[in-house]
Amino acid sequence: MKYVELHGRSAFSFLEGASLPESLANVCAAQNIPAMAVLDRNGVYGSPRFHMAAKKTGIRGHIGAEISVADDSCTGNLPLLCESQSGYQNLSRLITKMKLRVPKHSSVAAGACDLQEHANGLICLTGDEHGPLAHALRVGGAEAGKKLLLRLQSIFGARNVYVELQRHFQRDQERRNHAAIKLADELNLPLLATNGVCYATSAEREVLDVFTCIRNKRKLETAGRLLCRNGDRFLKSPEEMRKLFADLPQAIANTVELSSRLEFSLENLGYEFPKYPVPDGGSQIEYLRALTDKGACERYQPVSDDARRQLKKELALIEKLDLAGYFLIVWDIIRFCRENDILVQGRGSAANSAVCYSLGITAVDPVGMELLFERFLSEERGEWPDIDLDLPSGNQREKAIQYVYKRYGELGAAMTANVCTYRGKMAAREVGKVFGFDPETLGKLSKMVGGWEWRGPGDTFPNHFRGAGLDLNHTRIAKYLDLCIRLQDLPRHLSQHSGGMVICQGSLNSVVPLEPATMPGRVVVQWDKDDCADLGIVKVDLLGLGMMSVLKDSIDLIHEHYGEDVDLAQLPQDQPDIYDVICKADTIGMFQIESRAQMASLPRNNPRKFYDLVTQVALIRPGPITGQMTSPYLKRRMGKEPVTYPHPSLETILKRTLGVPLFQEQLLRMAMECAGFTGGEAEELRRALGHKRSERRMREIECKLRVGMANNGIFGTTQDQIVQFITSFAEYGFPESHAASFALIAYASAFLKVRYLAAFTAALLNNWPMGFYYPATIVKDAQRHGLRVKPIDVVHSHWDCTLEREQDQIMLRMGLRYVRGLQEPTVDCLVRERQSAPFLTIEHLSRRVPQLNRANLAMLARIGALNYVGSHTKLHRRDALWQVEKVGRWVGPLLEGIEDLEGPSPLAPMETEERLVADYQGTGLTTGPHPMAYRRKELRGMGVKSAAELRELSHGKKATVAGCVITRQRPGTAKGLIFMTLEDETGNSNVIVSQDFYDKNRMAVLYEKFVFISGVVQNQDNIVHLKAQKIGPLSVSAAEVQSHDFH
Amino acid sequence: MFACIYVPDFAVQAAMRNEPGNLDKQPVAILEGPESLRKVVAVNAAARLRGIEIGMSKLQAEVCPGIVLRKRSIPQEETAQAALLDCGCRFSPRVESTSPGIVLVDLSGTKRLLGTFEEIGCNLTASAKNCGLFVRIGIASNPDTALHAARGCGGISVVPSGKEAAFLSPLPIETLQPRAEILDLLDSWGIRSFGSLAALPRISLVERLGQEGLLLQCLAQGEIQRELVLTDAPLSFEETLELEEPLDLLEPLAFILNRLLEQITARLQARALGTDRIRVALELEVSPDRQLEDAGQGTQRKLFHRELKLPLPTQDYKLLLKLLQLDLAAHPPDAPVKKVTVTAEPAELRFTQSGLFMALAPEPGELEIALARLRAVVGENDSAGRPRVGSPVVLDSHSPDGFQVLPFKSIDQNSTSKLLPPVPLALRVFRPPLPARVVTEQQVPVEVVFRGMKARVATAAGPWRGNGDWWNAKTEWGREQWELMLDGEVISGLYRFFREIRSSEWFVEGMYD
Repeated sequence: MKYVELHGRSAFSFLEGASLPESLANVCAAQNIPAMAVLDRNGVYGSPRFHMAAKKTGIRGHIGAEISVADDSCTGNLPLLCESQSGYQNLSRLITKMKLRVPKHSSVAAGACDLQEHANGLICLTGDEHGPLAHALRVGGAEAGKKLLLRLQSIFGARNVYVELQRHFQRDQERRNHAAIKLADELNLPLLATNGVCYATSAEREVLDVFTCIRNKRKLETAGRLLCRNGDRFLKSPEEMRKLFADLPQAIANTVELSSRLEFSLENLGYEFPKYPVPDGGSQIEYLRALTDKGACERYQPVSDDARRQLKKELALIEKLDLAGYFLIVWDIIRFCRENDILVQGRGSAANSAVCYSLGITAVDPVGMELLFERFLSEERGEWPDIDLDLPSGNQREKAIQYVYKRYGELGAAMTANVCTYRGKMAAREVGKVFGFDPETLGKLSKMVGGWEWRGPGDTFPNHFRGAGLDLNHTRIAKYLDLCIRLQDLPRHLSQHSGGMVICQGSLNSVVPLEPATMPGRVVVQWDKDDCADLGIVKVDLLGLGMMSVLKDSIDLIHEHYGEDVDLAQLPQDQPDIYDVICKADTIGMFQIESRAQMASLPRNNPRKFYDLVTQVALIRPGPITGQMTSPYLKRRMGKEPVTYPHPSLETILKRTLGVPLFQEQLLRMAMECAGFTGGEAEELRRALGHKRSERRMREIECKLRVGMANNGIFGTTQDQIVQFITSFAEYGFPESHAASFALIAYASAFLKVRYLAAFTAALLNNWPMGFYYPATIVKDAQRHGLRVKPIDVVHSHWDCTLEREQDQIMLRMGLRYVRGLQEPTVDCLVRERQSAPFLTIEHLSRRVPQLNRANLAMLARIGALNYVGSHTKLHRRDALWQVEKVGRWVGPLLEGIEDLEGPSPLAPMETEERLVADYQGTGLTTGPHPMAYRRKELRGMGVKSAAELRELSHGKKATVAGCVITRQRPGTAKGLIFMTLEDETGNSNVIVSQDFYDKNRMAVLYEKFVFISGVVQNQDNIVHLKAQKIGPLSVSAAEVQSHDFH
Repeated sequence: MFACIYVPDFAVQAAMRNEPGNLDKQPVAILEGPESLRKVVAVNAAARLRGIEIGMSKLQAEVCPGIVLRKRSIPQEETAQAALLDCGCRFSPRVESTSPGIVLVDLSGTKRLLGTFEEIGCNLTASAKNCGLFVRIGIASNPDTALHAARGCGGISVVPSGKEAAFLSPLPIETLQPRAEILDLLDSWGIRSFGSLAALPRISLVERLGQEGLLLQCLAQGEIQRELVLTDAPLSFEETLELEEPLDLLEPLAFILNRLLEQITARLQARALGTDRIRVALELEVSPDRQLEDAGQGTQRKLFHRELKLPLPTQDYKLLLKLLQLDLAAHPPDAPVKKVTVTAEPAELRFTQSGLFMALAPEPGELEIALARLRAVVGENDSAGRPRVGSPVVLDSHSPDGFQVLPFKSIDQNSTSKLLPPVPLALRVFRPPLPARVVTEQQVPVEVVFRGMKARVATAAGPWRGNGDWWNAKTEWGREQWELMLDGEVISGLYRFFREIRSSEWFVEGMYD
């Protein structure tokens, strides 16, 4: 006899289920269960993943949810199953209604009238021990139970109520079952056996117990009866269930009967993208054509034949796929941004489309750059195109998002969700709390866990545990470790995706339940962007890009202080001085080309024109690096290796990148050219090699490629090489269009940095955190390039860093935003007061800006920001501190108002080292000399080279450098090598640390702030590295310099 | 003049002072905390040099080669402090037990008797060394200066009278041990020594740091004069009687106990104290076979200990005697008694007044006697280590029969006792459960045998499955319970059986009334 499990919860019930939907589907398939319903608590969070997994494993995935109901007539968690599309739409609307009624994190519950309103197409079960029937029986006995069942019948219809029976070997449950069976008999209701599944296998009960503790903020020892009584809520086989319900075979048979009634699946979601309201009632495609023609004329001036052909082809496909509305809606967002002076640029595969270029969505001409349109849109793929828009992060992006909300209504647009899952640190911390470990140990442990992007064989959970001082031989610690590992990747909670928006024709709330986000005015769907994409819901990504804000702010500052207007669209693309700077890898602060790896390849790639920059951006990606394409490309660039092609037919495709594939499009074209793939098949290939690659699919693809190539007469090593090219990179490389969009921004940032250093640096500092370096490094770099940076001063500074002009020189004044502990409203008040009248004394300042507390004042005094308060004499920092301490204490009514006759402070001025410590402690940077500068003489005596001197040394020489560590990086592609950057007053030195060396000197490499490193100079092609052979701590300063470690 | 005896790394020294061999060169760390997570709470200089820090876990400390790890023992620290006090008391009756590891001694008028201050310092050091403690000595005209001199300098420091400020001037400000917040502020001012703090203008300092600042400055200048908070010699209430002839009966022993208790309670009364803990140590003639321990080194003496704890301190020697008699009747020594020592721990007497409408609880003394009688009959603890006498409290757990026994307390009118839900059937639980043999058919019991009797199962309900405490190997449990209606010649009725899941053994848990 068959059995279908119709009441299960996945881990997407957030701490109330312990298995991923995929595990449930796999176990179902293994146990021969033909179908299963996943009913997550108050949501359908796990349904898309369960649906996809069920499809893959060949079972049917039923959709539904457990709805919390709190009403006089019905209280408890009511399981509802979707029988039809209208049932699903009702469930989705019901959940949305419940969720949007209260703020996020509040407990939600539906009332009986809500159920009544949305009952159509839904089938209700009576639930487990937390269900409404159990509650009614507990509270009012059989009479109340009967009343409830009649009520449910009146809401859902006589045929749509099933009396649920579960058997977990518990007395009270069996007692309840007896009562339920009697009632079902009396009311002629069908019985339904379920196992109230909370986890796929029995062993996962421990995970659920841990989740229960996390949810209730208890320890395992004190959770008592909150925990499961036994581990029987796993997916049982049909045989086991039949045996359990041997006395009630109809309860098992009904599961199959009910399953056959449930016609709805997520294939049939009923989603429709909104139609754009065309003015004058014309068709969308006609309007799009008109807009494209107009835009093309402006863009191309004049429109070439190639461009015209491409536009015609694209528009025909757009019409065929009925996507005109989508393009118009994106165009509408762009139009809104332009009209509101918001910088916006499309990125990703959209830049492959001439229509997008003509509509102003992207800034790269795909015809001129011969980009592959199929990468963006293809007929065969059957999915929506993906357009990502980069906007300045912060308020301006928010404005664009709010516009979309306003335009499509509260229930017509929403953000996609982001599922936060348990990772190393969070798992170690939360499970540790449940096991009752003290916060100090947990802090230490979560510091150890995390690690680098690259993980060596030693970077395992057990090793981290040992590192934190935990003894794995202890059974309790071993169990803790085991659970930390088992919790990995299980969902913890839902948050909001940074920019993904879904829009719907009609009501989005009938397609997917919506919930409130923490941010006021925001609504989030219950699925993440991958789920939305899997189910064919179109999304527009409105992404915040810090560099866009920097560009925007720079342009404003340039306008204000240099009196010049910069138009990013009109930047001259061929300025040799800009490329000179880029070629020297002098790129700190520049978009995409500032990382260590980028810097190490810039002198070799030697970009002299815009397209070189496009290849440069794409070059340092995991795909080209692991596919071993970076090195041959650079050698060919330098003429050290001849340009060859794996096969003559690939010459046209790979010519621009010197015979080495660097872009996704090239890979697709190679597949099309060599193996006869169609555009859609090639795109399929890219997706198959994407971030969710599976061994089986890889093998299938490889097979298909080889067959295709064999048909085209490509065999042997050539075939192998092409296969290796294609399979090694795919998703991990950029599409050319995306690289081109990024290269535009990279060039713009380089242009602004070289020409308008003060404005660019101020904008960069005002938009931090972003990029690769800490503000301390950005400031030092700007100073080395001749910018005068003035310290924070309450007499001159604003919240943001500003520009000041002094004798035709533009200088940067650090903003008060960099003072630790100071809030923006306080600074606003300070600036307002200062504008009305200057501050005469510190006491005067304190009285007029009462928001400045004693700690704020002391911090300002410590960093020297109060030195110029009162114009007569300059104070030193300790004078200010001495005064601040008095100001901060009220003397009482007796002495108040008495003139202060106190003389100067008795404190000695701070010494250089003390000032450095105070600067770094209070602002994270210093505008004075670099800490290393104070020790240069001494270091020279020790034979230590400066960063500038290191660059002059020849290959193979031994040298010692010293500096403060500003970055530590262990890239996933570098086979365990660690790259450290040391900074001194002359620049940065690059150090390579081998894995062996790291293992022996772990503490010094990881934790020392100032170090000296001796080793062998590697000076090749103007790129200088020091290969570490000896490392030691250096006592330079106690200043808290920070290193950007890529952990 | 005052002397300060200061024990650096006191917790380490206290733990190691009775250990054989010279361990002062070895790195030592003291650990504290639960077994799974012992942490370093104190280290000596040798350990510090090797990078062992307070807060490290045991596993991390063990990495240091040759490290000696000891568990922290508060009694040992108390004994060490008492020994330090003894050292002080040898030189002056006016002694203050300032804090663990610090004792201040008033040396006024002792110069002629004890020699120069340097000599006193040397003698104090030697005396402490005899007690197994390595100390630093500070001698000054006021107690706090002596303390700071001892804490801040090594060896013996004698601060010349009138030169206190100059002497203290170079000492680091941390020696003053101000609050962390003040220390941070002084650091930001660049004030890092006693001297620089002493030099600040007093009124301005008070305006900024208040009275606390003034106190710190006076301390830094060595100006504070204060009286010692004198420590009396430790209160010890112990009486011993060595017997000419060994006693082998309890009755004559009771006479002796009576006498000793009478004396002790009289002494307690004189000090207005009572006792809530009485220890009896009986020295036995030959080695009996239980509860014995070797008390001395190289001697053949064997001691037999008993200890009584009372809920309230008392001065009533008759009560104490009765309790001791009952206890000794329940746990008699196995050999004739040669020497009796009775020690009473002093405690403040407590007086309670009953409320007018409060139910009359039994008089605490009588209650204690009743409980002692019960203990004498049923024994102290059950097999699970739970006390047999007390109030049972149901645990919040799925674990069957999960309860603990707490000391008996008379009902407090204000407490809200949780009432158990009414049960339709009463179950008489067998503690411990009775082992049984169960024959099953298709996993359902059909026949049972226990206590040598056999019965057929007429009806069976179950299994009711439960398991829990999976995170703790010691308390992990798993059971399948069955309700069985037995229909045998000798045994019949409704019983509850269970099968231990791990061992597959069957037991009778109880029978329903």
